[in-house]
Amino acid sequence: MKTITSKREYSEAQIASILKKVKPEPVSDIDFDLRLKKLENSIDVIFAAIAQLKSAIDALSIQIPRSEVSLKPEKIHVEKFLIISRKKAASMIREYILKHPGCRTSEIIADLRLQPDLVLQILKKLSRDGEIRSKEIV
Amino acid sequence: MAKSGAKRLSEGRELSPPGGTKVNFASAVIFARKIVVSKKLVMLTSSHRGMSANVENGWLIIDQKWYLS
Repeated sequence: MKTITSKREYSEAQIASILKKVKPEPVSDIDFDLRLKKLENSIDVIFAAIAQLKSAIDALSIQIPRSEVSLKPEKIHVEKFLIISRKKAASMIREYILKHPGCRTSEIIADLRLQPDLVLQILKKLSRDGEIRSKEIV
Repeated sequence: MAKSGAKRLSEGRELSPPGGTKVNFASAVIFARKIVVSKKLVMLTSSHRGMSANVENGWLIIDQKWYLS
């Protein structure tokens, strides 16, 4: 299949418009100066806005003292049990029961800050020896 | 009979009862990794109301009263 090709002829005006599209005319010096001035103005406006923002932030930081703004988490208080000898713990428990007759196991643990396992062992031993006696809570 | 048996079993011992065991107590203290107390009222019996707490990984000590003999 043959394709028919024909030469297209352009007028001078058409050629000029095509050239203009492909190769735009250089910007004149007057336009360049105008654009530069506009840019300078916009940069000045931006700097002024930044200065305003900075002053606003400074004012805010004065209102909120730095000591109040703490990002560190608060320390959690953990009740620690005392680490003492079995003999000392036994005498402490005996004294506590003498001062507080009818005290509960949980009260002994909490007030003397002794390890629960140690308290239970000592209470069991003291009751076996007949020094103390227990009563069920009804 | 069952009460005395339970007393004998628990005397001075650590128990790890299987799941589904119900432990009755008058007063106890719980030491646990996690305790979530729900303040919503629950029915303990038809005439008693209480609260519940979900606890994880710990132990429970049933309180006793102590006197010098």
